[in-house]
Amino acid sequence: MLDSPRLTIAIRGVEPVVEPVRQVDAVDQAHRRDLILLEQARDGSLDAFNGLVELYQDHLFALVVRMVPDRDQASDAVQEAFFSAYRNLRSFRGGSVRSWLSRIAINAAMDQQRLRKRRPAQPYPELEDDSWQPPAGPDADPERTAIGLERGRVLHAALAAITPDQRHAIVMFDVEGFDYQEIAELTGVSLGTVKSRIHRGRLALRDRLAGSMSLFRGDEG
Amino acid sequence: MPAPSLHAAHDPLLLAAHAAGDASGAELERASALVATCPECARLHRDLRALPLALASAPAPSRPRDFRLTPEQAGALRRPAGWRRLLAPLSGARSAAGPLAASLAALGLAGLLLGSGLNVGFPGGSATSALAPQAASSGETAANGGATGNFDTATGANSGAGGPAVVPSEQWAMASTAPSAAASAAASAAASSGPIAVVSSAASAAPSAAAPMATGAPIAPSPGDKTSTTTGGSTADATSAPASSGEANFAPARPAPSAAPAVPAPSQASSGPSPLVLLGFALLMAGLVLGILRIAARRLV
Repeated sequence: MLDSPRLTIAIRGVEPVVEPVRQVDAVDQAHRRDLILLEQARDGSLDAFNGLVELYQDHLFALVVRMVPDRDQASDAVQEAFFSAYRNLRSFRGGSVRSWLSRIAINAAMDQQRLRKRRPAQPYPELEDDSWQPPAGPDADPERTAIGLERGRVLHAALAAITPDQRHAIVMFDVEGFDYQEIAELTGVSLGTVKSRIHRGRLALRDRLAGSMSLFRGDEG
Repeated sequence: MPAPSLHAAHDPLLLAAHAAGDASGAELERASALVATCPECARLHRDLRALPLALASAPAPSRPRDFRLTPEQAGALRRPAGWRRLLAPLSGARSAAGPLAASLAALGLAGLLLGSGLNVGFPGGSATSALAPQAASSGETAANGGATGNFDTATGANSGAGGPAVVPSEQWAMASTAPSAAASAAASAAASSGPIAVVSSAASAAPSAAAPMATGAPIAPSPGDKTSTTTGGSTADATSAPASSGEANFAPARPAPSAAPAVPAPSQASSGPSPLVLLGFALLMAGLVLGILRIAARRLV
C-alpha cells in the first residue's frame, strides 16, 4: 500500500503547497503580532507602541529618505510620523499596520517636502559619509557590497535631482509597491497624472543616470 | 522600418508607458515596433525596466537615531490640546459618560411616559389628555359651523387641555366656542385641579361628543356636589362668554369683563405640565446632550 503510485502522486501534489502556506502563516503571524501590539498601545501601553516603532522604523526611514532629499529632514519626518501614529491610534481601521504606518510616513514626508520648498536645503549633503553604508552580514561579498553602495549613491542622487512629485510617485510605486489608485488617493491627483509622473520621472532618472546605467542593467530579469 | 538616426523623433513617453505595462492597443503596437526596430529605443526600454528593480533593491542610508517614544513624549502626545481637552474625559473607553447618558435618557423617557400615563389614567390629568384631541376635533367642527373663537377663550380652554404642545391654541380657541368643546374644556380645567364632579356637570350641561367620554371616566361623579354645581355654572358662563376660568388662570392681568366673577379657584391649581413630565424632559435632554458629547469626544479627541 505504502509504495502505491497513487500515494506518491498524492505526496508530490502536496509538496509545492507547503511553502506558500508557510509564507502565508508567517505573514499572518506578523499581522497578528502587529494587531496585538496596536491594541495594547491603544490601551495605553507605550512599550507596545515602541515595539511597533522598533519593527518598522528602518523601513519607514528607508522610505522617507528616498522622498525627502535631506537626511535630517527625513529623520524629522519619520519622527513626526510616529508621533502622528501615536496620536491617532484610534484612527486605525484594520488592515495592515505596516501599510497604515507607511501612509502616515508618506504624508509626513510630503508635508516635510512642502516645508522644504519654503526653506530650501542642500539635497543629500552627506552623500559621502558613512551613513550610506548598508549593513553588511558576516558572509557579505565586499565587491557586491561596494557595487551596492555605489548604486545606492548614484540612484539617490538622481532621485534627488528629479521633481518632488515625480520622486514621490516613483518611490511609492517602485519602492513601496502602492498601485496607481492608492497613489492617486494619497497624493490627491488623478490616475492619469500619477501614471504620467511615474513615466516622466523614470525617463528623467534614466537621463541623470546615463553614465551609470551599466550598474543597473544586470538587475533586469 | 525606422532608421536608428530617427530615434530623436521617437516618443520616449510611449516607451516609458510600454516599459511600465501601461500601453495598450495601437500604442502597444507602436511601442513594440519601436523596441523591435530601433536599437536606441530598445536600450531605453531595457533601462526603464531595470530602474524599478534597482530602486527597490537599492540600499538606503541607515537611520540616524532611534525613533522610539520616551514616556515624556508619549505623555505630551496623549494630552489633548485646546478645546479637545474639554472633551477628553468623555472619550476614554472606561468613561462613565456613555452609561450615564443612556441612563439619563432612559430615566427621562420613563418620566415622560409616566407623566403622560398618569394624565391618562388618573383624574388629575386624565381629562386633559383624553379630551384634548376630542376638543380639538369638536372645535374644528364648531369652526366649520361658523363659530368664531378668540384668544381669551383659547387660553381658557388651554388651561383645561394641559397640553399646549399637543394641540395648537387655535384649535383650543375654536373648541371653547362650541358648547360641547366648552364643556369638555371647562371639565378638563376643573378636573385637572381635582374635583371630578365637574366632568359630570359639564357633560350634562352640554350634551356633546365630549360628554360620553367624560361620563365614561373611571371615577364616578357626584351630582350633588357643591363644586359641581358651581363649576357647572361657570361652564355655562364660559360657554356663553369667551372669558372662562382658564383665563383667570393663565392671564390674570388681563381683565375679563364678561367672565363670571364667581369663578372659583380650582383652575388656578392646574398650571402647565406636571413636574414629572418636566423632570423627564430635562433628564432626556441631559442624556441626549451627554451622549452627543460622548460620540463627538470619541471621534475627535
